[in-house]
Formats: sequence, structure tokens, C-alpha cells
Amino acid sequence: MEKFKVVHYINQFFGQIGGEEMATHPPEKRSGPVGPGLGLTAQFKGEAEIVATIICGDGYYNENMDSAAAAIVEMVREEQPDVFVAGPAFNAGRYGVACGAICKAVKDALQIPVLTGMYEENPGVDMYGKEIYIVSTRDSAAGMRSALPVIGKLLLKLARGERIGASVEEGYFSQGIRVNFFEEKRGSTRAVEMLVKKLADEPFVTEYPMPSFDRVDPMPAIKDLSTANIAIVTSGGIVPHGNPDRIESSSASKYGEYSIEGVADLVVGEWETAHGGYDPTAANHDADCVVPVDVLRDMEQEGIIGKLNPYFYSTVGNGTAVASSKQFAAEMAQKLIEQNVSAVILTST
Amino acid sequence: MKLVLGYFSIEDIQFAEEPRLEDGVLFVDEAALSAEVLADERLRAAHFEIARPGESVRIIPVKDVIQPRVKVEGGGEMFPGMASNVDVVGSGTTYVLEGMSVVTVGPIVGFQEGVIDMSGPGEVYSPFSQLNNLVLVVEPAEGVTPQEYEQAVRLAGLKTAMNVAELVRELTPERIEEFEHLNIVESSRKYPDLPRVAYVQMLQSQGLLHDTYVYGVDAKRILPTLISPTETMDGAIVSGNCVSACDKNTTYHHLNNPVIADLYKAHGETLNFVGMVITNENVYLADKIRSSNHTAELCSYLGLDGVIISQEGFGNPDTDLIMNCTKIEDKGIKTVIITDEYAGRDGKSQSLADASPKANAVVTGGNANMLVEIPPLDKVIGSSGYINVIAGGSAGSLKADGAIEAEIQVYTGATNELGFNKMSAR
Amino acid sequence: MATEANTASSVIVVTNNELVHEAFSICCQVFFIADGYLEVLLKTRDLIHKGHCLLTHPLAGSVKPGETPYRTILLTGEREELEMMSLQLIEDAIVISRRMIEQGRFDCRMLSDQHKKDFQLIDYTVVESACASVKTGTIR
Repeated sequence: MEKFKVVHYINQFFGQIGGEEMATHPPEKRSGPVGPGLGLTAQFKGEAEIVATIICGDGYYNENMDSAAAAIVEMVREEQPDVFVAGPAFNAGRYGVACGAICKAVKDALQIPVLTGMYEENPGVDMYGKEIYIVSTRDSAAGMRSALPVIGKLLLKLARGERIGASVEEGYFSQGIRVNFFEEKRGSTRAVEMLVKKLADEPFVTEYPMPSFDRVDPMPAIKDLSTANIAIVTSGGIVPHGNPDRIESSSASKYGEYSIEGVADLVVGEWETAHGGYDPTAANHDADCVVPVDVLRDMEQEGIIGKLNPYFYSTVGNGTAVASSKQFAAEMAQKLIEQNVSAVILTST
Repeated sequence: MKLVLGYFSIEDIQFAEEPRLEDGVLFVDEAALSAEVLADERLRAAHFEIARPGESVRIIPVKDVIQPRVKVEGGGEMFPGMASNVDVVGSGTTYVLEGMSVVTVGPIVGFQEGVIDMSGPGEVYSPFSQLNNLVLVVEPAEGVTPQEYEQAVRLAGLKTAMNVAELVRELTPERIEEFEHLNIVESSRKYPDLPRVAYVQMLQSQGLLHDTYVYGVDAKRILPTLISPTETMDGAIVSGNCVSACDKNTTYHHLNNPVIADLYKAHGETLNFVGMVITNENVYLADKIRSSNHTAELCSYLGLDGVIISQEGFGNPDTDLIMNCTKIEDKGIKTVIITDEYAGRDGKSQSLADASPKANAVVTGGNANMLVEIPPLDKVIGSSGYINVIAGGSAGSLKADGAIEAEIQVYTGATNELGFNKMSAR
Repeated sequence: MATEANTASSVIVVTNNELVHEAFSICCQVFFIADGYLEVLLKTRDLIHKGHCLLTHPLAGSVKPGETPYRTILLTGEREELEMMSLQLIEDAIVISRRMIEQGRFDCRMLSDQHKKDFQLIDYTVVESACASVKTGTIR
């Protein structure tokens, strides 16, 4: 029987080109397996083979997302593989994002099964875990030995076109698609065991995570707007021209605090958006449509609100991890309290 | 309260003129059993069939599944208030016919689910595929309303199960099991250091084919109340519920409630199983609020640390489930809930009709919308035409060759919310 | 405690079930919707926005959306302020029903008259079970 053909994607480090200093290495294709590909090949037991390995620097991929993906997709296409696999990336953030992004790009362009592996806190899981199979691994390369059998097994199933079991059975991150399977114990036994753990404050895993709405109880209404200090917080990425804080266009790692003291209108050329993933034309032309300084100044003049807070806070919501957002929000909230803000208008793109 | 269950293992069922249990084979007199059923003038015809594990047989539409039991010692008879006089049950000795059931089949309204496949790929979904089933097929007399007919079928099933179990009254069981339910003072003295745990069982209570009875009382008329777990083993709770097949609790489930069984296993080891509260699932919103308030109050009164809540059905009972869960958690009592899911055929939709972040410990019986294709079986008890109109099936479900394409919600007990099965979902 | 007389006048019924329409028109205001299941929910939502409150759960009964053509919902006759719990329940029910009706492949036109009657009866008994609560209790 002919072996399934696999193309493997790894970064400069696992490709043995170098460390961070070589992160700018552009995509390169070598025939056969390299680095972790050798271990992965052993998992195939002769049923599949890695025909080519693509090595790309993490920095290069993340800074040239579109062109890197296009180039790599072409490299993969030439090999006509049955499956594409990337990583595993463990907890390396940029590597994880690259693995997720290139898997999705290959899947979309070539319509072949793809998979990768990474640690649960890798931002790549948040960004791509719903669209592609990402095997759950440990947080460092020390987990390679335990990761490869899981990746190898899932890869072969995908290659054969077999039914893929539930996430817990196969070891990938849940894609939010509910899949039935048979547990070893009946439900009531699982319930008693879960309760005993919960009572002992030990960790337990719910079988159905409730949809996360993260609902917040509303604050009491403001009785007198005419004395209120109103602030604006946005995830729409409005920043002073030139983006002085270098807030990333996606997966933001920071937020900015910007003064609008004496500013009546966010005019073109002085303000713009750092946000990727949507058409920024309108926001760049008139940033007030995201951060409505002009209207609030009018209301301030008319005495409808007490005043507009002299600072607003801005970050980019595009692909930004929930954990990062929570951290930004906690810091912003502290600052807003210190500035005696009475209410905040939250805006988005 | 202490109840001893004595078990007889039934390996096979045969029709015979002389009813008896011999070497694990139960011989039943079909004519005598039918005559008893037909004593109810609401029924025009009745006959029995036997369906054994592995046979190429499909049973449809299934109404109830009942395990034959007989009380040989202690107060009352089986199914008090329903098929016998009202008396407190749950103590003394009860004999159980294991490995078999009485299955009632009869079209009450036109759109009924409830499939048991004795072999083939469908047999993994209904737990009753593994039993020797004595199937009672009935037809109503002319002019009988659906309500009267439903009641007649329900009683016919219970009485048949009682009649069958009478055969072992004078015999000696193969093994016994003891269940003791101490009062709350005794149990806290006996296990002062173990977490105090109770079971909250929600009973479907919404109208024709949606009802459950407690000592003969329609559960929609009860306030949540305490009941000894051993009472359920003697038939204090009876199913009058036919929708949906996958997640309704049959009388068999009530007699063999797995949450009760597993809490007893852990009792005295990792927890103190203090008792159980039964509550209802009414359609009226004020009833839902009242019942969940009262359930939480009872849990608080019992001084509990933890509770397992089981559900019955989908949709509006999700609201009861979440109300019960959040109100009990708000009392500082930790909960685990058991439910099932309607996540769509692709598994991508939200599984429940209600949700709360407080429901952070969930056990699921699986996605009831999962589609399966099942090849035809040689024999059908009942009528396979029903598959086209039952919940989970649809026009075109029945293929020309007899194969069925339907959701697993057609299978009786497939996604049971007492945690009866091993199926789950992620 | 509501008396039976004023209770009757203070309940609104929204239904597409002829059997319910017949039985309830003598005692309640009935909005009969000569249309599908979803339209009953949409009409109910409109009434909730006008200040009527749900008395019965919009997904009452175990016969699910997409598995029956009939739906009946009871609301309060009096108008108060918009009640968020009612709104939440009806909105959730609409989302679920849309999805289940789309995925259900259930075709009401395929139903025989007898099946229609059966579906009507089940819907009716589910509502009837709520009526006992309306008659005997304070309304909400």
C-alpha cells in the first residue's frame, strides 16, 4: 500500500537553524523529516511518511503573515500531501500562532486535513482551536515524547478519513462541537466522583462547560448625569497618529492611555486605528465614529454630562486573548477609579 | 428505614401453561396475563411477545419499561397509590427479577417515539436492549379518550410486572443487598466528619404523556418533599411520561435509580448520603419559581454540603434545572447536575435552553440530536411506521428497505439524565 | 389571592392550536395565530415588549420545536413594565426554535388529520396543567 504523504511545518529553532537571532529566517523547504519530524515518523509505523519539511522563523511568519502563508501554501501544494501537520509549538506564543495560522491557510487553500499541537495557554489555541485540530501538549519541549504519539495517531485517522472521536478521546482541544462517545463509567458514578472532588476543593472537569457570557451585573444608574465624569474605553484600536505605543493590530499585548484634554474632535491625520481585521477607512477618516469625542464634547457644552474624562483607554480586540483583556480591564478600572470617573462608555469596532 | 433487595437472575423468558421460575428461565402464562390486562374494559385487545438480547427485533412505540418486583416483607405492596393501596413502602424485603423487564407498547397518540433494538448498531443506545423483555402490546376499546387509554396502559404494565414477580414470592433469592436510610440525627452522629450529600430528583410533570406519580399523586401537584431513597426501590415513583424517549425516566429507571445506587456505594466512605428531595417540572413559571425556592430551602434545612441534581427532559426543564442549581449554590451548597444535550445534528448549537456560570459541574448523557442510520431488523413488535412521526424521526426516516435514519432521541433511555448510561459528549 | 373571575379576565392566550382556541375563548382573550409555531413565539415576544408577562414557559412540554406544529403560551392580561425574565425566556426560546425547526426536517403538511388532533391534544393538556395553577394561586 502506498504511504500517506505528510508535509511538516516547524520553526527555526526546531529546524536547528538557530534561536531568537534567526527568527527572521524566511520559509525554506527541505525534503524528508527534520527534528521532531523524525520522532513523528516513528509514530506512523510505515503507514505515512514526511515527504517535506518547511522551516520558517517565528518572527518572519508573524511579521509577514499573508505573504508567508501564500509562499508556504505553494510549497505544500507542490508536494500534494494527504495531511499537513505543524509543530508542536508547546507554549511558544509566536510559534503557536504561526502553526495555527498556516494550518488554517493550508486547510482553506488545499482542502486537506491539518493538525498541530500546543499548550492550552498558547494564544494559538484561542485563535485557531475552533477551526483546526490542535492536540493538547505540555508547556515545553520536554513534552515532545508524550505529544508525538497523540499527534501521530490523530494524523493517521485523518489521513484514513476515519471518524474522529470526541476531544477527550483523541486529545485535541474542544472545537465547541459536541461529539458523543462512551465513557468507562456511567453518568451517575461520574457525578458522584465529580461532587466528591468539588466538595474537597480538588480540581474537576465539567463535561459541559456553560457558554461563557461572563455576565456582569449592571451598576446602579447614574442619578444626575449633569455632574458625571464620563470616560471612554475602546477595543476599537483608536490611537494617536503613528501608533506611538505600537499596539499590535491583532493579539494585542498592551493598551494605550491617551489624553483628549482640550480636544474637541478626533480629526484625520491626528488619530487613526491600529485595529486589523476590519476595513479601517471610516475609523481613520473620522475616529469619532469609534471614540465619540465630538458628540460628548457637545453634551459637555450643553450641560447634559458633567465632563468628559481627560483620558481614554484603547486596545485592539482582534484575536486578543481573553486573559489579556481581563488584565487590561483590571488596570484600566483602577486608573478610572483614581480619576473619579462616574461612568464608562465601552465601544468596539 | 431499612430495605433488603433479594435478586433473581432471569436468563430467558418462555411462554408456558404452568408459570414458574426454573434454572433462570421464567415461564409465563400468556393467556392468564392477558386476561388480567383485559379485565380493564378500557382495553380491547392485549397480547404478549418476548424479545431477547441479540434477536433481530425492534420494539416500537415503547411506553414504559418496568422491572418486576414483589414485596415479601414490610409495609405495603409495589407501586403504592397506583397499583396497590396507599401505604408507606421502602422497608422490609423486596424481591427483584433481574435481567428482564415488562415493556408496554401501544399507540396512544400518533407521534410517539420509544424504540428498543434487540440487536444491530442500535442496541448500544437503549439499555433495555440488554434485557429479556416481556412485551405487552395493547389496543384501546372504542371511544376511550387518550387520557383514559394512557392510564389503562400504565396500570396494565404495573400489574403485569407485579403478577410476574409473584412467581418468586416463596423462593430464595440468589443474592441480597441492604439499603439503610437513617434519620438525619442518627446519620450525622454516625458520620460526623463526612460531607453531607443529598440527591435532588426533578420529575417531569406537564400534562398528558408528560407526568410522573408519587404514591399515586400527580407530581405537578406536589411541593418539593423529602422521600427515603428506599421508597423509590418499591415503586413510590411511577412514570406516566412518554416524551422524549431518550431522556424520560421509565419506571424501570425509578426503581433502579443509578444516582441513589452510587450515592449508597459512596455512603460512609467519601460522603454521608443524607437523603433525597423530589421536585417537579411544571409549565407554569410561578410553579417553577416556587418549587426551586422550596427545593433550595429543604437542602439548606438538611444542612447539606453537596447535592446531585438530575433532570428529566429538555427545554423548559432546563429552566428548572438552572433555577435549582443556582438557588442551591446560593445557599453555599455545592452542586453537580446531570443533563443531556440538544446541540443539533452537527453538534454546533448551544446544548441547553438555559445556562448559568454557577452550573460549573455538569455530567451529560450525550447529544440527543446525533443522527444514526440503522439497518432493518427482521421483526417489528408494534409498528415501524411510527418512526416517521416520532420525536427525533421525520418524514423520510424510514427507508424503503426498512432502514431508519433518525436521531438517537428515538431510543428509550439513550441519553438518560439520571446518569444510567456510559454515553457522554465533549 | 386572585378570584376565579378576575383570574380569567387577566390571562392572555397566544396559540395556533384550534383546540385551545375553542376551549379558551369563552374565558380568556385568545390571540389565534393562523400560522406556524415560530409566529406564536414572535407574537408573544411583541406582547412581552408591550408589558405583558409570561405565565407559562415558552418551551412547555417535551415535544420540541420542529417536532410539533402547535404552541400555546399564557401571558398576564395586565400590562406592567417590561419584565426581563420573560424577555430572556422568549428570546432564548425563539433562538432555539428557529434552529430546531430548521434542522428538524419536520413537515406539518405530511401530518394526517389524526396526528394533527393528537398534537393539538398534547399541547392542550400541557396548557391545561398550567390552568390549575392559574385558578388556585396568586397569579405570579
